Amino acid sequence: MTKVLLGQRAGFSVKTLGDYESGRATPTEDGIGSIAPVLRFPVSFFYRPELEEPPSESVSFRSLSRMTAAQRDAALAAGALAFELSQWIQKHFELTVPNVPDLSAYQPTEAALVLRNHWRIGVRPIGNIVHLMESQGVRVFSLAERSHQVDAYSLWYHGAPFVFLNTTKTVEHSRMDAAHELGHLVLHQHGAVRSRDVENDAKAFGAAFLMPAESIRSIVPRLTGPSFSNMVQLKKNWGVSVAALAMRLNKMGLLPDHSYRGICIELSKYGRTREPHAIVEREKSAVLGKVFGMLRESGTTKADVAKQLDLYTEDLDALIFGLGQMMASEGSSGQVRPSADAEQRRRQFRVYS
Amino acid sequence: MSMVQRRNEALVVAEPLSVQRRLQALGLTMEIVLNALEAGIGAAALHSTVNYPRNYGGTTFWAEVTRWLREYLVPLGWHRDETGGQPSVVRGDNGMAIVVVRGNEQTGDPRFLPTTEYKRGPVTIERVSRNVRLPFDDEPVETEAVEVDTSDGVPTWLLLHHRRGEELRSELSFPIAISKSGFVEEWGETIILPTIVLDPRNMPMLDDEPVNPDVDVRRRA
Repeated sequence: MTKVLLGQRAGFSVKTLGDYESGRATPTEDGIGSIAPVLRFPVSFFYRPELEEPPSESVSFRSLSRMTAAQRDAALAAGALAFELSQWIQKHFELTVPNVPDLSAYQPTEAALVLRNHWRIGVRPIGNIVHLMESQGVRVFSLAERSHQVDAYSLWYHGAPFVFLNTTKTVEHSRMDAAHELGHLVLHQHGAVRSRDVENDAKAFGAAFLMPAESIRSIVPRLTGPSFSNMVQLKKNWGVSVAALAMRLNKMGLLPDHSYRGICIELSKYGRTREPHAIVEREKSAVLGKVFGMLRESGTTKADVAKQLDLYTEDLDALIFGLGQMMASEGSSGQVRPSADAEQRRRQFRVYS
Repeated sequence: MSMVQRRNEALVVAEPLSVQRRLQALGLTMEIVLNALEAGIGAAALHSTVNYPRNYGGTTFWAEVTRWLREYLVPLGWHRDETGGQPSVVRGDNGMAIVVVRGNEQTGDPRFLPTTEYKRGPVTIERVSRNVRLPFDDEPVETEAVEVDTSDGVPTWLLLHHRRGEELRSELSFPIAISKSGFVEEWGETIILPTIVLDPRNMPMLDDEPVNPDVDVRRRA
């Protein structure tokens, strides 16, 4: 949201907002009262210490080229909320210590194999990649900003690897995003210069991690002219999209160029956002599921957690894959649930939802 | 149909190295021909679900093989030709035209004589009869002055193909006689191409157990 729009909605001049922003002036309680609903944060949020937002240079974004600066900032701000939540969780729960080695010395495809060996999973297909990453100490959250332009991003924060996944993509797409971000985490731990190469490295890593060459070669001969249903059958072995599999097979010399092109043309009929015979069940965080499950058992509601963090439950939900379903009785008890009115405003003002 | 006849082995090139050499002498490579056939298989496979008209796969195959022969050969100095409505690709010196045609079960078998699968029309009949009148000298001519005459006097070869079970058999053959009923049944020369094994209908699945680790979370005391 721009300052002009916020000013219009909250009834302030742009100059006044600028003064608030720079610290030249401090908003009154009433002032915050009118700004808070426009920005869709509880009033208490504005009285808390400043959030630590990750510096954008240290973050690896997917789809970076198509993102606007505002979209990137929104995603990063959502990240800041996740760190708060993560710290809160760490205070109350014991989580796996991160076991994500620095593999920057390797080529991406080698690194994928090295990491698989390090994690002792050989070349087995990966069932749930979110759980796999979490079992090795990666903190995985869903992207609160539902921008279709941001697929995923990752970063190291106080020694812990974080991955954010967009939950509006197909499951196959999201799995590849996760593997891609894992690539950034092992290959670019020292904040490599963001460039085309870095993205290509992560892309190569992701493909090799989800579809190890040895695994493919063990069952796929050189194909002559596979049908679409052939490809759909094959992709189920690795839980990837037809597009990702076709590209991998083509690069490995197992799928002739003309067949690859033909499959790409067929795929284009599905559009960018649909996957033929897609996996239905989304991969969600096991850690967050367990945490909110245990909290609920001990009588702590999601709304309670949101309140402690000065968040709307809705924003909390957005970070935790909608996990930790509230009990029916909880619905009205959380003061942080936005009203229908707020929902209406949200639709009007939220640029990225 | 008539009885299956044995081929005259002297007119058949089947041994892989000789096939390579012979194709090269004609200005072709094994790779180009096989790639074009595979492209046809791939395209047909993408267009052969039950909801497509039944003959669409075959038409797609024919169209794509023709197309890919042109894609590969035009940059090497060949050109497209559609004389009489019959699509072909013609070598730069007009010493050879290739038409893609479906053959019968004997196609690609070095022992037995194939025929075309279907009765041929007037264009093929004309081309075959011209093949007979032409001196049987088909190697590329290295001269500056090329006769630009795309239709008359170009020796025509048929790229015969036949799908049998999970295989595609093919051969590049020079037709010289047509039966009274319209099937090409005699060949001046045959170059047997390697059999292409088609992709299985059911793709293999991995045996390995997928990785689905349990994630440990404990409440702090």
